[in-house]
Amino acid sequence: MSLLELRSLSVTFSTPSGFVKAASDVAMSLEEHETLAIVGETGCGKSVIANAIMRLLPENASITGSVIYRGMDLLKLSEREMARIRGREISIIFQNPSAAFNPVHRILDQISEPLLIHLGISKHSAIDEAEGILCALGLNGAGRLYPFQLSGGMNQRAMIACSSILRPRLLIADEPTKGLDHGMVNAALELIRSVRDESGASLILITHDLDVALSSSDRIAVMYCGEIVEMGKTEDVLGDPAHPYTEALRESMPDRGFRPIPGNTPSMVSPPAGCRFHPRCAFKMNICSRERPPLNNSCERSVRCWRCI
Amino acid sequence: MREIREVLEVYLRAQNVSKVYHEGLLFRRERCVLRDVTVEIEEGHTLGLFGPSGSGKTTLARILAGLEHPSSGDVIFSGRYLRNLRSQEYTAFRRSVQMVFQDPESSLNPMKTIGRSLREVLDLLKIPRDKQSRIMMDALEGVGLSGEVLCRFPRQLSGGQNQRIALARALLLDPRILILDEPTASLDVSVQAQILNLLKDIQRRRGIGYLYISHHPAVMRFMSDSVCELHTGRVVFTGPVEKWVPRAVGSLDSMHIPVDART
Repeated sequence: MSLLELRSLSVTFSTPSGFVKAASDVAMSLEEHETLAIVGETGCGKSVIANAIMRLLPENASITGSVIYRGMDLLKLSEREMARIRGREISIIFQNPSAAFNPVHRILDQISEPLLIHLGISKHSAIDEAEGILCALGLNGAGRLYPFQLSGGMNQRAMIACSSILRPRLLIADEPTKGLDHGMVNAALELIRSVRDESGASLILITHDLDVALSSSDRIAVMYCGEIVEMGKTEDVLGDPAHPYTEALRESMPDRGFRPIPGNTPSMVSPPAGCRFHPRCAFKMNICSRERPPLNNSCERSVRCWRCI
Repeated sequence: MREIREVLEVYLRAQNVSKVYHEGLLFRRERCVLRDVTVEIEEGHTLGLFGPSGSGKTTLARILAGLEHPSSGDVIFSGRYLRNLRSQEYTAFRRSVQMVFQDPESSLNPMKTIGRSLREVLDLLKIPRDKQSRIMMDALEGVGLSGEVLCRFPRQLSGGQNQRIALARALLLDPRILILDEPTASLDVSVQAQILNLLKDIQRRRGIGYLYISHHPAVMRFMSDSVCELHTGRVVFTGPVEKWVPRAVGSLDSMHIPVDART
């Protein structure tokens, strides 16, 4: 049985300018000890999926489908049952850690809070344990500081400590390298990988950077405009992309000479009919603008493109 | 204004610039951010400014743009010392040297539509209202946007679109030198590719000189003709991009915790 399975998960936000379909018919599964990367441009719905799994979406979101975690449908749990799962079973490393921490509490208090709430141990031993994990991450002495006194990279580390202190089975990292210096990206990834391996957790790595996905994931799901367009083993998908969008995304990477994708990302209120990528696609056919292609599964690779059917 | 523009060669040079900040309320301490830095930006060329966080890249950019004064050393614009410019000449300098910042959302006023933000610049230039629409449309076209964005607010646009608008606004003043402080750092890799190509295209068309700040070696190589690398405020390399090999930039371990903050 998979650790986590999403079955035709759709998320729609009702906003003054209309209904925003942030995720439509997303289906994916994650095995134990596996790392799945979700890649795509800003606004394609990557973070929405992470927050839907954690049930942290705002009230104007309506969710359909199911999120099966170890046989339980997380969307059907009561808020109280869900609170027990958050942090202990499934934990998230938020993007922009400097903003995710509470600015008026010291780092140490915030990192030991999950221990107090979930394990009910004494404050004294919780602080001891939190100090231990901070030392292990090279932040000795930083626990007594406030988040604004630390640099972005240090807050990132403290965030990782906070999310992994209960050794969750599933760790979700939402853009963990955004805003970090180029030199620090690898260090941050290495830290996440070592935390993952040490506690034997599975990892969902959300990123817009294909290099990050390539260096740290087993499988990859490429999202465009709220839907998965290609999914498979990371080396296969990035080594030989089948979907034109994956190909275009790869071409815009630094080592490919920064070749941009023509056009702009479409509006999520009224996405293009048919294949959502067709207005920007170099291999457009007649059928592409009329009918939406299905996600075609064949031997460990799924592609949503009429060319691959 | 004319005096400066008629000089054949436009350049902006920081000569032996140092910058010292004073910090602490009771116990004043000095922190040296830049030490004896000399760089030059020429028209039509791109100078890349490379270095890890906290190496003084942005401070140097702000000094070159006239937003801060150096503690010692000089900024020279086409043969004239910046500190000797008279007020009219200074205005002309500020028009000729424009800056685009890292985070486009925070450099545009969230309460104003894009149209109002751009119109403000044209009002300052005393361009009559009836001609403004035409100029704004041209400016937007130059950065690959359509006129429909004029009535939108920054929050209704994507990061890439906002950055294009920040660029269009800087170009309205017809600058000769553009200082770009990590203009793609907060954008997606795919949008970064669009903006970088757009910048190169604008440089080819208008022959503007760029100071391009980044901590990404591949971006640096793609954009620059020559590179200046800073480390803790000192220049450690300056020369053509072909000869440049970046130093190993910091790991998470190299970050230091302020000593006096530990209690």
